[in-house]
Amino acid sequence: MTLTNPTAATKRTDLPWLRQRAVPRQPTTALADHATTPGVAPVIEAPATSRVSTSLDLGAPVPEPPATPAKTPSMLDLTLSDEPAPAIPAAERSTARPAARSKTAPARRARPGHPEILTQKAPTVELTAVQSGVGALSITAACSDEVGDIRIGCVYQLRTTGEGIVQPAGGPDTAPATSHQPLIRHDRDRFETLTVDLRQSRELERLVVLLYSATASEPLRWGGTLLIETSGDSRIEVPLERPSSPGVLAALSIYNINGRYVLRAEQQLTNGPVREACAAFGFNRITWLDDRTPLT
Amino acid sequence: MPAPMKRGSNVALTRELPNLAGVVLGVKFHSAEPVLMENLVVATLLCTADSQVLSDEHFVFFNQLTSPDLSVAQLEQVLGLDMAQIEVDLPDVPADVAKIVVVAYINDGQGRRRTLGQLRDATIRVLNLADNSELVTSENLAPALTSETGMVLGELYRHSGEWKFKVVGQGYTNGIAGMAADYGVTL
Repeated sequence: MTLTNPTAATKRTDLPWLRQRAVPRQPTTALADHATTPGVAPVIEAPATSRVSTSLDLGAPVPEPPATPAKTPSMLDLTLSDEPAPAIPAAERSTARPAARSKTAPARRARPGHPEILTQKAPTVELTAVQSGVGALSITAACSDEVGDIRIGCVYQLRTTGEGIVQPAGGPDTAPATSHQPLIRHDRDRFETLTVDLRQSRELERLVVLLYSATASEPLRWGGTLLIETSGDSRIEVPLERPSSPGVLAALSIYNINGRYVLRAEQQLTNGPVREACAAFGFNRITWLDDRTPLT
Repeated sequence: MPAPMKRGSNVALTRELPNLAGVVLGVKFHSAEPVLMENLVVATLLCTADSQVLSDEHFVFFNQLTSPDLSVAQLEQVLGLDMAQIEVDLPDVPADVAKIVVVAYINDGQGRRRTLGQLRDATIRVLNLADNSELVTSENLAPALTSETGMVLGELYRHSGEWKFKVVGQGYTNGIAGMAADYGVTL
């Protein structure tokens, strides 16, 4: 076989088809009408093979379903047995379905003019790809002087440089520590603030915000709010209400899921040094000089 | 090579080339300031006829490289002189998208206050997706910029069933915040 000169070879016309990606076909069942909301994948629920209610709600039991299955089989029908799958009566299906979907409802969003408060019952909010990629994200510990000598830091994991810590009063002030344009920067203007440069948003894999006292021995009288603001002033709040105690509070975690930042109120207090608080979240690749000083 | 298109002019792409199946929009920037170039972001907005994005997922940029219908995709790596290239599959563009707007803005994550006035060159061009041949290119849009931090470069829009391309070159002093407000993007 003779090898032909690539510049003189005949032009291939079959390659453009490799770029064509087909939008996945929606299943043509009753579920199709719920698939029209953009950005929400259709929820395919396996029909329960027993009469026991599959919901975690400990209220009234699910009413006895009729013997005949009212649901047309979809391509993801997971019934293995040949007994008729108990289905919600057709008349109730239109009202029952939205209630069932709320368990896997679209994630909470943040938008301007309507602060989202992260509580124990609803600790998570998801930012859109735009909110996670435009401008800067500012994380502020809005605490009065009564709280004590509070500092805000974070332990993070970056795609290229790995794990590290931003720890004012005892460690580096920026992440990565030596960079002319750091991804995370600590400032103290009116309140302690961390700023995440979203031009480099893809670089961040995960981050946990830590609040602690600059004077290691003094307990903090916890109070105030952790405010997270996007460049468009969409605001998320994490209340910092807990009894006075020493230690390190991991108030918030940010995970980069497919380009979208998911914020979760962690509210986990570690009664120990910063090193222990980092280990509690699985950050064990940081080099420490002692319990509270990282290597810089 | 046809003469560069002036700001405000438009060309009927599919009328001239009825078999045009896809285009590549290429954006070229040049500046002596490397920090400006690092923070310059090109984004593509899929809008309805009244210039509002269909949704926040229809904002194609480095953090969201394709539109939900996969008709518009930004290339992650560009080979060549363009700073950014966006591929558009014209037949796949959804019917409610009336215009595809290409914008550029400075992402000011550090408060450095850079402006587009520091740009020496800013051009947008349209290539044929099938064979990478350049169809049209705009004039240099940089000289008219001073203190703007954002700019609409050009747009691909539908007109009587045809696709046309217009060079806009409109600057925004309030950058991405102003453009997001105008086009209905939630920041």
